[in-house]
Amino acid sequence: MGLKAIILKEFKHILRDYRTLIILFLLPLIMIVLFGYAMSLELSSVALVVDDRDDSSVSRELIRSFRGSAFFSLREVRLGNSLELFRRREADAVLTIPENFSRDLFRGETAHLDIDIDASDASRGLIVRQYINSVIRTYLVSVGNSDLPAIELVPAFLYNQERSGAFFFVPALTALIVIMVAALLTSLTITREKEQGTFELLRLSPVHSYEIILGKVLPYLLLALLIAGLIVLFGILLFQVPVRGSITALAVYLLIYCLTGLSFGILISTVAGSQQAAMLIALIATLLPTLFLSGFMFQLEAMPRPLQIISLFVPARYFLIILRGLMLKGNSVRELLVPGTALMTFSFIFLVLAIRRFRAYLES
Amino acid sequence: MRIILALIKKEFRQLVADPFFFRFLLIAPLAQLIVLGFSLTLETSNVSLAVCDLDRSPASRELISALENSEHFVLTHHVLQYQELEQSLRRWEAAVGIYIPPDFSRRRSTEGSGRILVLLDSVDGNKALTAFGYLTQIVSAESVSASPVQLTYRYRFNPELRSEAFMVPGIVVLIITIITLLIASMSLVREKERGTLEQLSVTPITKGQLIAGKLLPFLFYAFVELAIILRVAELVFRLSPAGSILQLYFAVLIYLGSTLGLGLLISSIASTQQQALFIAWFCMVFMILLSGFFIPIDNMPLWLQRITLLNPLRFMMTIVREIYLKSTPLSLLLDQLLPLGALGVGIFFASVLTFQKTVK
Repeated sequence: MGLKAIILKEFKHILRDYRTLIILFLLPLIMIVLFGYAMSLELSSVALVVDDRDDSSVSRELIRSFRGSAFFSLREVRLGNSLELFRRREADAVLTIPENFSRDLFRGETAHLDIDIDASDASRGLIVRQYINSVIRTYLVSVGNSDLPAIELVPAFLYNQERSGAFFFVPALTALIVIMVAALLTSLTITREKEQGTFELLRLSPVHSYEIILGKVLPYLLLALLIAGLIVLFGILLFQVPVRGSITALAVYLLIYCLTGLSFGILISTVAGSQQAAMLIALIATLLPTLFLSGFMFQLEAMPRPLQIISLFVPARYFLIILRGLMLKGNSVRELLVPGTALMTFSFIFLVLAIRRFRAYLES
Repeated sequence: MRIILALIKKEFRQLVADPFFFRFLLIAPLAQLIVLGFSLTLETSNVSLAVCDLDRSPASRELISALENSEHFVLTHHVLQYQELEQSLRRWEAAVGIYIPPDFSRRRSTEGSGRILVLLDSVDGNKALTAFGYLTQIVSAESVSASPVQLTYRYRFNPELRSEAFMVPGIVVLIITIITLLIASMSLVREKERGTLEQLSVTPITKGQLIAGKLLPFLFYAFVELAIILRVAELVFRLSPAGSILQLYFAVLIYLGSTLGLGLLISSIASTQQQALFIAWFCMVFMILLSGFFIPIDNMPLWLQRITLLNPLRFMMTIVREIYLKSTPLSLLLDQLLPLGALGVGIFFASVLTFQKTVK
């Protein structure tokens, strides 16, 4: 009975503050549209500057094969200073073909090519190197100056043939936005009552502490689920992200994840002293770990071990496996048993902790 | 002048008086710098590898041990069937599957080239492509006989190819952005909520003095924070600016016009601290993601690239990285500095105008 009343009261709270409600629906949608388009990790064309000191038919042929590649935008200079070019941000790499390149090649001696790469962005530098390498190798094979490689690798890009960035990021953005909205929503509910003094009234009323907590979580669960569903729908319609697994499973996991976020928010709100503190904690505790320690875009296995261990406690890490598994890999529920259980454990622990802390607070 | 000094004193007292906020402002940035500096790598290493070797020849074994010795891969599974290979990818147990068919070494000796199928989990397309690049490198080192052309690569500015070198300078400006935006957007709203703003407006303090008194302490605070972060970056990551520190500080000063102005603007518009925080949060996410911090702007569609021109952090990001890594002088950075200055002036005046309307 008390539960129903609290739920009703929370609903009224939510509907009354329509301004915040609009922000809550609008912001996530703007974010998914904007960042769905922004989040492409495809490399733009490499600005290559060629300093052809050999100026022979061989070197010009080599340059032509760079021009033929869609990955390069080419410019030729005489005696360019690579550092200066890099500082002006006019080149990613400088290829120098020394004077006796063609002579050495014809004589069967080892010919040299010098390549300077702007490596300030190390990962881009490496990719630039790979592109240059493959053009030169292809060229050498085509002019018969190199043997076919003895091993040929045939790649098969599974689950995302076109390597679309949106396929990768739409689930990630969903995970980020849902947990932030959910945690921010509930982190304020109890602190606000504390600050406004209405909490004393609640304390005097004959409702159980678990009724208060559940009564505060359930309405927001509906709200968060609505927002989450909208985000997923947008991702599917706008970016053609597939759902290869079961849609029912997707809905159920979405619900569990919302619950995790909400119960985390409630936990914060029992800990924090003021609304400001609650919001800052909710913001920092959800945004940063979800962005950086969940596999959002930074690869967990490349991180130092302590951070990998911390990442085990980030709910989004498990949700991302579930979401990407269901959307892209077509995983079955059984294959997602481990991350699913982890998420449920999180919500359970957060909720129990919140109720316990809350009860202690009530009795104090 | 005396009035401004008095206001500055008051602002400092307020900052120190709120222990939570003060500690938060001090500790959070440093924790961020350290955690992010270590985690923000776009590197691909420790990629889990499953191998299905049906050839079982010396050649295939040699290849597998070359993969095992690579720093980029970790061999996790040896499977006996192609289906198991696919399964281990599906179950998130391996990110790359290598299938060496039974006729690999036979074809290699008869036809000169043996084929290997590489299954790549392309959920993260970029990682898949990089991993494939590494595989190609390893395999070509294994298979290519002495090449007639020797390629010499020189990695300028970052010969060890450390990804922190690129990320840490970015994090430095990121932290400055978050901190200044947060304190500036919160400060005025709090006075509004508590009604102390009304009291201030009936005193003979002019609005100009009020703004100066509000923003100067934040400016000071931002520079102290900047100095601390730079020092910590040097201690933890062994990274110090290659270019002129003075020019870096100058660029940050111009940049702060934008962030403090934006903070002031937010706190003029918002009526509660909650609203201010929500708007500040959105601005932050917008600025960070569209700054080129980890998604290069050149990769974005053209209409979005145009939108990034409104983002002061985008210009600051380029400037800080150029100065930090490449010791580029400001004279070569004018194409970044001028728009940054223009945005700063524009945002700042807009905020002052809005502020004057709020305080009647």
